[in-house]
Amino acid sequence: MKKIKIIILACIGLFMFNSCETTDLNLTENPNALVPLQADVEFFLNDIQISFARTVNTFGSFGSETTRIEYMFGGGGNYQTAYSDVNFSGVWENSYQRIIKDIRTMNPLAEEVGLNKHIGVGKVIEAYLMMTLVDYFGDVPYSEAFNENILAPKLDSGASVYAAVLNLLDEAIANFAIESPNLTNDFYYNNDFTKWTKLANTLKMKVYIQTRLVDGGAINAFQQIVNSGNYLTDNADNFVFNYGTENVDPDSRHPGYAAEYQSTGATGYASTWLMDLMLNDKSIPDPRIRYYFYRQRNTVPTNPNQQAELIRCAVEPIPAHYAAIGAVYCYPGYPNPAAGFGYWGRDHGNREGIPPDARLITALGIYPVGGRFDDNTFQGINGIFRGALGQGITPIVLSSTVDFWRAEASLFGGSGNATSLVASGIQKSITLVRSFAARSADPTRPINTAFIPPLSDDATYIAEVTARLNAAAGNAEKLDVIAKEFFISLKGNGIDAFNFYRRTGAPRDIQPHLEPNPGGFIRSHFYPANEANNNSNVPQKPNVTQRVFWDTNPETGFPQNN
Amino acid sequence: MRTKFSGILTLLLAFVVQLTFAQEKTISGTVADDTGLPLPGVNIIVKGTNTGTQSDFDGKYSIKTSVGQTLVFSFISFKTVEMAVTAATSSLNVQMVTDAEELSQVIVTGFAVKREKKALGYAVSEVAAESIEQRSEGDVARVLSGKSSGVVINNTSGISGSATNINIRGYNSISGSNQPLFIVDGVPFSNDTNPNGNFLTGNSGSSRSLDLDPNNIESISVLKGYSAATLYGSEGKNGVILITTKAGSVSNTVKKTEISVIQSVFTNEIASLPDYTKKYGNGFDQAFGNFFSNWGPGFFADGLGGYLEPSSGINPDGTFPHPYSRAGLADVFPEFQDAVLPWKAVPDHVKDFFRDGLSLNTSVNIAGGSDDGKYNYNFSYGRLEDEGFTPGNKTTRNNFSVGGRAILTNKFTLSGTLNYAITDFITPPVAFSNGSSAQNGLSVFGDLFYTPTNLPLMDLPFQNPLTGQSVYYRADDRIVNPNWIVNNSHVSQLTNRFFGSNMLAYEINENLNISYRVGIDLYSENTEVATNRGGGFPADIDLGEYTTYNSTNTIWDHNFMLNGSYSLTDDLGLNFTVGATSKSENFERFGIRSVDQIVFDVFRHFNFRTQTRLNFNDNNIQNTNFRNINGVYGQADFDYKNYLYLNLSARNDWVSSQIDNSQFYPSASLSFLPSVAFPDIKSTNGINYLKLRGSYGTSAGFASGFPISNTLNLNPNFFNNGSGSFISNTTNARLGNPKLKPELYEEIEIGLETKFLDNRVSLDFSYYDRQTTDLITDRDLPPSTGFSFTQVNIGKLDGYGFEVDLAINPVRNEGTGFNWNINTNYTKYRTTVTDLGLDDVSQIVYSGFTNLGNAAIEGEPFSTIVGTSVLRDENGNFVVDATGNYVEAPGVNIIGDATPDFIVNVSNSVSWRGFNLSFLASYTHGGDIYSGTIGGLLARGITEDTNDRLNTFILPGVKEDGTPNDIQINASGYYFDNLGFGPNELQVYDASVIRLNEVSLAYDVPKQFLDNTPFGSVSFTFAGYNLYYDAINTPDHINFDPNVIGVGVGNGRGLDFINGPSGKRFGFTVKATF
Repeated sequence: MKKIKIIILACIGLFMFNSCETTDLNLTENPNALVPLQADVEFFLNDIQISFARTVNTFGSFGSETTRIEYMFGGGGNYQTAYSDVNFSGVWENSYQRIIKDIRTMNPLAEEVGLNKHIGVGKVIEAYLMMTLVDYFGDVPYSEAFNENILAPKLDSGASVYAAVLNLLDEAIANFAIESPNLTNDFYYNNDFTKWTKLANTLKMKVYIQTRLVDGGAINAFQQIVNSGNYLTDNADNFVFNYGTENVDPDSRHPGYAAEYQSTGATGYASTWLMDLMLNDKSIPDPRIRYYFYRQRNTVPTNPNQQAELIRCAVEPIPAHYAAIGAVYCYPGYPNPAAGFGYWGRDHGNREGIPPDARLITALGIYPVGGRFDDNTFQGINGIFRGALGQGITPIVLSSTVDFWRAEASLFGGSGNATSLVASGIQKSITLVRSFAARSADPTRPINTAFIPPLSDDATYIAEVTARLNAAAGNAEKLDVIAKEFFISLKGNGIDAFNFYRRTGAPRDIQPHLEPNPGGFIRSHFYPANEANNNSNVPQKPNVTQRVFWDTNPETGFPQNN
Repeated sequence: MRTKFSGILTLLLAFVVQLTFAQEKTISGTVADDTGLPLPGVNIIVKGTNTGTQSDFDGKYSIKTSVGQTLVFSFISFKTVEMAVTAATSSLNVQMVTDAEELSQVIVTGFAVKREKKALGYAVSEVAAESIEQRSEGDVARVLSGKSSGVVINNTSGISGSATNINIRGYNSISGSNQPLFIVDGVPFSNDTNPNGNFLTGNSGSSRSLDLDPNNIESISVLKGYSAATLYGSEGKNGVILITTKAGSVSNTVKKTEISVIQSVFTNEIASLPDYTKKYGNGFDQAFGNFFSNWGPGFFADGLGGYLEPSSGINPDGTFPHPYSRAGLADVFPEFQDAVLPWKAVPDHVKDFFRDGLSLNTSVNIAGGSDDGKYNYNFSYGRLEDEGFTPGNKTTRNNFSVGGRAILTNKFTLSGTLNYAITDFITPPVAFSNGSSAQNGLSVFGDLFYTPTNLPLMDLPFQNPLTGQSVYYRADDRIVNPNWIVNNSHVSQLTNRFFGSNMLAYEINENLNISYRVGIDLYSENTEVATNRGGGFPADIDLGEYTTYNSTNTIWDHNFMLNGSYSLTDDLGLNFTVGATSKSENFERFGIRSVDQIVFDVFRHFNFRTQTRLNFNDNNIQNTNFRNINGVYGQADFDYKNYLYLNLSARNDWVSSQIDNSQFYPSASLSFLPSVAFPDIKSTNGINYLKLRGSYGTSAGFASGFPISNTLNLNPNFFNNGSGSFISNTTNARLGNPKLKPELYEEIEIGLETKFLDNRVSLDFSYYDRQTTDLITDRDLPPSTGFSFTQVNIGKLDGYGFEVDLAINPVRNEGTGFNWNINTNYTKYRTTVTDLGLDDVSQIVYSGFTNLGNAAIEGEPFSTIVGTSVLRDENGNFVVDATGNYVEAPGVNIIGDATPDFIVNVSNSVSWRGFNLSFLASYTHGGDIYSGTIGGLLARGITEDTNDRLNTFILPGVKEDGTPNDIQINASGYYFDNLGFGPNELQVYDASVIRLNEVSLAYDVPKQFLDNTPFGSVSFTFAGYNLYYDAINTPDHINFDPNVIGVGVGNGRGLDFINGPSGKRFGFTVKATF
């Protein structure tokens, strides 16, 4: 009996010994991730800079689509339903939860070791994002945001966020002036803080030009920076993000390239309006057209059966509201397919399904996504290694953009001559775009340089624009001319086009929505679903015609041609 | 003298013995059951003595007794028989009669404690071996379908070996698991499902219940309510499926060695093929084109829509260009250049893609023991080879199992089981698709079902012989050829699993015993996801991908238990159990993903250019998860005069994943038998048995994972611009919540069990009302907070349900006469979100997409489906726009409720002279499903449902000005733009379905034919499964089977994303014992 007791005790002892591991109740730490204490300022700033570029790129696509720089799929047949609230959840989450949250988490760590420049860069990025959020959505959470104790941050007025943005930019400029270590990786200016300072000033100019309708002093403030000369004046100052060519782990290519250059062909349609504008608006094609667009073939189908299969609009009559104003329809040169030269995209708001045309339609070119230069090779895209292999850019603020702003400002009390500013802007844009021929990196398909337009085309082109501006009577007509040139220069990021369009209503002769009654144009987007559904202080807006604070243009019927 | 004396002595002795002990004699005989079959293991004791024995395997016994004494024959669930021994008695053959009246059926309850069913104050369903074994489905969970009220089984797809969703008594947690706990031979058994991605990217992966061999199962008890499962703690809150394997059921009875062999052969074929139109072919609006859609011209020449119309695009001779007659394939397929194909419907073009799978199932079981019954064992081996009807799909499983039990000394009993299973599952990939290809991962079903009717799918080459790339009819290769997928891509899981337990029990005295059991369940699952380069679409796997990872899950379970049994007074008895348990779970996954294949068709990591440790949506492929739960528990059962039973139980759990980590929860139940307390109410043709029961149960749920602390993401390779790669840090989107509390469950259950009309009818009815409070729920945060989600304790769910089991025995004959049994079970359950507890949020989408999924919305039923809907005017009419199409309402709205109104299963069994014909039919009433399959097929104009397409359609509704809609649209506009791809609401259908689950005809070879053979018994069974179903409120020609969960195993429901067809099986089984 004693023996048995000993055996039992031994068993129990053995069990206790073995089961310490199984009875441990303090296992709350996640082994699959780091803890916040292990953060690194440089690693944070890498993510902040790169995620920022990608987020701006997405914002830019929305802006380009509504302004016809790119094609907009008109889901539901009207502006109200073209974008649903979930479309913006990604950029919203990236802006708030990722980038600015990271900036706010990084700052104390950077302050501890005096990394002022890191903090300055973060402030510029935060300023740009907050400004863009206001431009797209109107009032947004800011003063109560980024606080884990407030789970429903209230909305701040757009004007107050803009004021905070100006503060951030001033603080950033101050940060840049302090002697402190460089960034380990500066993806934008290679630690040239005079350029960062110029950028911060340029973003202030952006604030002022955007608020010129609601702030009488804005043009003056804008002018002061112009006078200082301390802003982005040259292509070397451009605030752009350069992508890489790695296709997997990590996919570092331009997102537009990654989507477009697939073995199964191109995925997106080009905007018929922009192609027509660049092909036919002047006596010569725009020198940038072969950079912007890669034609996979040189004709749109001529056979009615094929047209019906592949480009339905070609066998359908032009809608009355297009014909009435002479808007381009279906392809440049409609109804003569030969006049289309293979420029094959879609009209604004087209909502058809997708026929098997991915190796036929006009694809994105070498600028800005890093695809192929159109040198009349007319090859269907059937692989992912083409052209510049995706080594494109997201233009965020270009020096040409500043010229177009200045041209606009000059019409409303700013200094300078609109005509020469536009000419300067176009030249800067063309020069930037031309530089992309050198990026072509696919040795099996080198660019046939014979198709690079001669430099003399630039002068011819600019002279025609100049003549039109000079001939234009009044600001409205001038703005129509400026707008078209500005929009062309904004290929790759339509944020400023979307803002300009709502601010000026130009160009008035833009291609209308394909549906005759698409409802009012988008003056601000719906709040993203992930915010509106989860924050009682952010009630969803009733429609997309709600204007942002700097937009005092008429509530309805503006801009024209929608 | 000597002789004389001994003679006298003998005489004297005989006399004395005669006088004092009466006449000692040995009685022998046979014990049989009411059907005349020998009954082994019957206890036979001499009344009032300690002398006893048991009947052997042939029902034979022999016992020493004396004239005048009485033998008592007793056996569980039979009436006890007493027989007097008279001088004339030399043998006693006893036929025992089933004791249906008192229903002293024994049920396995918590921690393998056996209780008489009449003593239980809560509902427990038992499923016997006969209704589990000899099936062709490998997964025991699927076999359970329809067998028990309150238990709802849904398939994730018709792929053989695919996962199974099990739900008992509705859904009670929003973010926590609602899957029941599996207990196999007393120890927890993981029923994880580890699919190769999420529901979007790939949903292939078995539920690990697949590792059990149904043929090796002795019985299954299903504990449904909280009070039944209290002892299992928080893990048992979703119900407990208690499985006793043959190895685990070894008991110390005298048993003759028995070998049984089961061999099944089944075919497995697709059941849900649509009826394809034979009138129209590929194209849109009566014009031919190599589109996804089948709205092209007719196969007839003349008349409206005929191919002779000038716009048809079909050659006037009734041919169309061969789809491979195109410039890009000129070098590859010169033979097809300028070739044509006849413009006609290709018969069985999709049917021929599928095959008749063959399913072979072998099981050998050997059981026996020592002559004295102290050592017993069970060995079994099972092999399943289950070929799916989808090419490339197969499940192979080998099971080994050993169980034994030994009485070491008078006081110690040792028992144990060891099980080993090797399960190999392979399938072509299946991923989300919704009528326009699988966008996020390859899916063999993505485009298959709307293959244009004029396309000879099986005659077309599917692969570019030069590059290996997929080729198909659409010129831009945007559709991956399904045959290419079958031949070039697979997901496989090879699982090695070991599970078993050892138990040492010690009998302290007659009333008390103590036991310790340790159980282990370990599986190692090797998953491989492989696709050759050249699929084309989606782009991110076009270069070929190869992902391999191993998931190892270990559960250690220790349990100390003290059992006691006392008679407190003559009328009052007490059984009690107290114990302590600890369960430790540890999940470990690691592997690697490679992309960019070099040599075609070689799947080794060295053959890929780039390796990464990321997969799973950019999360680390390496993942560790562990959690410990410790518990102490106690239970006391009082019985009073065999008619009143009170059970009190309670448990306290401590968990490792929370700071507020302790929860106590008590339960009580009462069972009262009026038919025993008041015998007067009983009569043979009236009530024979009546039991009333009631219980109150509670349980708790704990967080899994690591939800309380904030984390930081690190990506070692976030970006590469040619000058190197860059590391990133970013804050995690999850806000840790250190204040997380356990979630609480409460349930009140009442029930009634009765038998009447001479035990011909028995009825078991349960009603329960349950609620969950402080739900641990993943809630989305507005990203402006800097976080995107967190776990919080919010809200309240209220549920109730009815369960009815009705058995009728209309024709009853003794022995092998004609018998007819009808068993019906009925299940109804509703769970409603009564309080979401959040001011900021009106709904929480917990499954699917945020704009098409399941949401918890205050005041609405759980399993509500939300999605886009059609705009309505103030009178509730649908609104159409100027083009005659429905206008989409803003936001995300309620579009359906996936919970069925009720489910009825009816099984019938007719037996006569060894023949047994039975079937199981089921009917599910109501419950909505969003069906991508129906939407996609209607949109594509591929089935006979859309044959009427030359007329115009007017959508019911009003125009924006309020007047009735009179705008005509064409067929493609009606089906493609609205019914198929319009607002999600239009793809929601009532999922009522009637189904013939099982039909079988069995024949038991009569004993007398086997007398001169080695066989103890032989039976043959012909059976068919899922032979017929009809989802009555879905379009007739889609033949859609709503038994599918498109979001995989989890809390989602009523969503179909073209996850795969359902299958039907038929075949036969031979079972023989030696």
